Amino acid sequence: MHRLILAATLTMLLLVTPPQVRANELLVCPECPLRDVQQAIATAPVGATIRVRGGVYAGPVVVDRPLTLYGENWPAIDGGGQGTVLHVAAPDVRVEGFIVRGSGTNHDREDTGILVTAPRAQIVGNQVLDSLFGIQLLNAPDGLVKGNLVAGKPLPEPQRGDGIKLWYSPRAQILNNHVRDSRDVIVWYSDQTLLQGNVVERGRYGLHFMYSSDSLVEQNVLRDNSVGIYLMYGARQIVRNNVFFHNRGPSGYGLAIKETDGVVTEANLILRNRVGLYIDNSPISQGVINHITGNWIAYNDVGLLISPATRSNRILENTLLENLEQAAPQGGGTLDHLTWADSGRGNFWSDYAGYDADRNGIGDLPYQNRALSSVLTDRSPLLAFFRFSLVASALDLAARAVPLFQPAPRFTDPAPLIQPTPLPELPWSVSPPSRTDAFLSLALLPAAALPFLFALRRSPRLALAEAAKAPRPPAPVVLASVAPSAATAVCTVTDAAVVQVYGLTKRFGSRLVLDHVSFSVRPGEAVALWGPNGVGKTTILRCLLGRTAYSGTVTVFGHSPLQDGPAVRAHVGYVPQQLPLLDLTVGELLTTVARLRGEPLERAWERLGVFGLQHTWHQPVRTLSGGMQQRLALALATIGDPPLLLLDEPTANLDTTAREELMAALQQLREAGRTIIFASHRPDDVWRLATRVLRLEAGRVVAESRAAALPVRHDIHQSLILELDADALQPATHLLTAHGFAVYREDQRLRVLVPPQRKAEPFFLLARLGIQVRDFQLEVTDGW
Amino acid sequence: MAGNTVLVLAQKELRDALRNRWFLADAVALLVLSSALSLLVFLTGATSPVSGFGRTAASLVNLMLLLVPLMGLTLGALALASDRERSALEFWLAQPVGTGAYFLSKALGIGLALAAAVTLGFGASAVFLLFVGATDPLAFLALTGLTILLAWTSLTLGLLLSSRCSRTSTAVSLALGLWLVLVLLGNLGLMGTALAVRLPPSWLLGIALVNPTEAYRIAALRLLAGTLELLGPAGLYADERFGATLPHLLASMLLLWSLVGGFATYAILRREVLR
Repeated sequence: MHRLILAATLTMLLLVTPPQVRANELLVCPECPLRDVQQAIATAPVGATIRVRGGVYAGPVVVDRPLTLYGENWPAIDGGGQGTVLHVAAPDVRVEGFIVRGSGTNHDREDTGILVTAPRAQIVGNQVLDSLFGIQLLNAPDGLVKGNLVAGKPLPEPQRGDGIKLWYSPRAQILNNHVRDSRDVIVWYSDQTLLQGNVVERGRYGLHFMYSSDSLVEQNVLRDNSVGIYLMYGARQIVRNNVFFHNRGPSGYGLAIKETDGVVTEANLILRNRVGLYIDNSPISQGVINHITGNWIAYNDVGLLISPATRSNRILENTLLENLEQAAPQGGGTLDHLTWADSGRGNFWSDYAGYDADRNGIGDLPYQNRALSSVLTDRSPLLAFFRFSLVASALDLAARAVPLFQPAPRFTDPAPLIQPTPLPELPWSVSPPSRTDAFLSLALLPAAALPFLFALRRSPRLALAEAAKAPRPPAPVVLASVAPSAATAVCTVTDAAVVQVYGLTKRFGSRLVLDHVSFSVRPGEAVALWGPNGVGKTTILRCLLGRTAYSGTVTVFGHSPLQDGPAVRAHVGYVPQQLPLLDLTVGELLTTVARLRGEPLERAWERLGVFGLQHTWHQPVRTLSGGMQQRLALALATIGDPPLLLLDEPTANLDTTAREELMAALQQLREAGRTIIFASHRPDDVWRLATRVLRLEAGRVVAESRAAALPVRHDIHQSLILELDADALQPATHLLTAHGFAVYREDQRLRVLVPPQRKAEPFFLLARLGIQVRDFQLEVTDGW
Repeated sequence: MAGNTVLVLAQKELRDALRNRWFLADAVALLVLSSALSLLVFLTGATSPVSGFGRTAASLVNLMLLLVPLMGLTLGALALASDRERSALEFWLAQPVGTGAYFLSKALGIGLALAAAVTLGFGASAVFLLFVGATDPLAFLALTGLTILLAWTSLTLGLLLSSRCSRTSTAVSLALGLWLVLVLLGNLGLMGTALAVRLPPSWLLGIALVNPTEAYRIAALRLLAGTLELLGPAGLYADERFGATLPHLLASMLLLWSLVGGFATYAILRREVLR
């Protein structure tokens, strides 16, 4: 306790008493008698310490005698943008704790923050800012550059100077510096350099060695440079426990070794560079070996890129993990002359496709690199463009399948490791990936379900469907029970013609399908378009729906179907010859059409009951019988209570019972005042439903008659087809028509609709007139 | 009303998609394969303290290139031809529905279904990939969006084929042919041409980008790897020429493909409907 009180008292005394200048020390500060650093140096004896307190001091400063410049509270020496800021021209000088800034930008003079041109300088703990060159040791052996921050001028990379430059300065120690945004840290003509614990980032070459040997480079972090470390033309360099991260400039090497002998590269992490490790013709001397051992080379575009002339490299026990290209010879050739395994241990390859049956940690099959696409890329680098394309994969697959096309392996690791080697000890903490991100990504899964939730969202139909599950007898078909809906109200139904067609002409290419057809339909009418197949009945209906282009004038409720298609169709119900075989259930189809036509689902549900189809709610449409499908089609057509119904051969595909049911329903609709236009070739349908009949032949309306004028022929179930001479067709038609038969001409034949008890009568009538029947045919169908 | 019409029919299309065996098979294949691939990345990454965009993760791009255009093209090809073959086209267009609303709802419904399938596949992959830090979450999200764009582009191309075919089998055959050309034969031809006439990188890039699947591949690699250096001189040229705007540019190209394909299909369909 006493000691603590004593220490505190002494500290307080030190803080409150004015600075005491010890012997052999000078004090420089803005308020001191000595205010100029250069003046202080001039007056300082050899070996003195000049303490410089916080403030800004003008440069340049030249230290021309051995002394210590010690900055307190970050004094700044400002070069004012001219020349070199601080020049250490004497040996045994120590500069510590300064901000040195504002050098010139002249490359010829190499304007520098701190320039050292004498031996044994110690540049420690300074901040060199806004300087063309950061710290230069020119002919300055045994220098120490430690713990400095060097930040280059904000210039384009080619115009920057080097962060730290060693030039003919052997035995330098470059320790724990942080260099950023400069050009290079270069070590040229400087042997036995120790580079340890430095961080170099956002430069061109993190460390650039030229003609320098016997250096030790360890525990450094080289990141986001163009090249991490480039070793050139030296010997016996040791590069270990460094991190090379994301060096991806134009050359983009993590570590590059060019014509350098005896390099030991071990236990480095080389991660996410363009090329992890590049070896060009190293070693260059005979009998010398380079060792590449225990490195992690991971997630680079190319893990190892080696010039084919390279020999005598032992590449052992490295981990090559997930590099896009694990190892490749530069510009073709093979790498088989390198040592990929020793004493039965090779390297770990993450794309190794072998196995380890004997569980000795070594793959039982060699690792071979022989992708055809890679070989092609070696020969023509432009083909690298096709990397990760299916064509590259297909080529590789084809080469594997057809050995004839398989290239020779580019190299073989005879003893691949099954497990990665231990991660080296590094000056860089590998942060684990964010687990939060991973779990947040789970949010994508419900996002994927959203569209389907939208599609399958709960709607009234589910409630209706539940109701539908309850067994109930089919409701009687009482169409009048369905009152007109609001949809009817918005439609202008007056005594004026619902449909007016004038001069309707339609061609398909050169074929004339409709030839100036004209007619009109008044409210409450049921008009039959009657005639044989191919006469244009369906085309007229399509014109009324606005589903085909035509010439002439067509109006439905006063609107042109071509121009106002959806609006017109909102007032028209359409029953096709056959309901399309949709994948939807009856309920889904009904719901969709009801929503399209703006009818409440409850009402649509009632309508389904009217047609006796409620029990089919969950049934797919395609599984309904023909009769049920047509009833459903009619139910759908009446949704929204459209005042006009168009029916295209509604009974064509139905058996007698189904047809009877449908006709009954249609009759009820007609009696309820619905306007109906229907196409049919069945006379009994026509007579039963139509109030007016338009007879069509060859695309023209050839006759129009009121239904009352037609004979009631409910009993007709057969047609007699008579083949006559050409000149007998006309008189025969007149004769038979005069005797109450319905007669229609089909080419050189007459079709005569006959009741069962009068089948022979046409023969007698014709024979009486001397008309010869060449041949005849009796069809059990009842008309066209 | 038209908006409601589109929504109603789009909802129907989504329901149809859930019943479409092609779609279900493709979606399941996408989900299973992308999950398997990502699991492989996860297993590799789980044993490794470092992470990044590696060759296995890059295979995901390959997988998407293989499956997504196939899904889009076949679904698009099935859409109109199948409706025409079953007379469903006539049925729906006899309702108060315009040709434009019908087509838009078709494209929207199937497009949403495709987007859902892609999102599902990517969602499952993302869990594995992000757990080991194999990719950047934002880049992965962007890749999901890009893949949806590819799906839509393929869809409109499929619809374009479908708009002229009256038979489903013809439309699907054409779609498979186009898929083969887009993902394989086109590139094979380009590779041969590049070798034979020594195309300049700019030309190689320009010709390749006519193919929407190539635009996707390049944009996806740029997103995941952060650079196109891995694509050699043409990749470097692309990086140099377009820089960080390249993914946006390529995504816009895909969007343009979708829009042009969509408009062309609509124009053909309208003419066809009124024939």
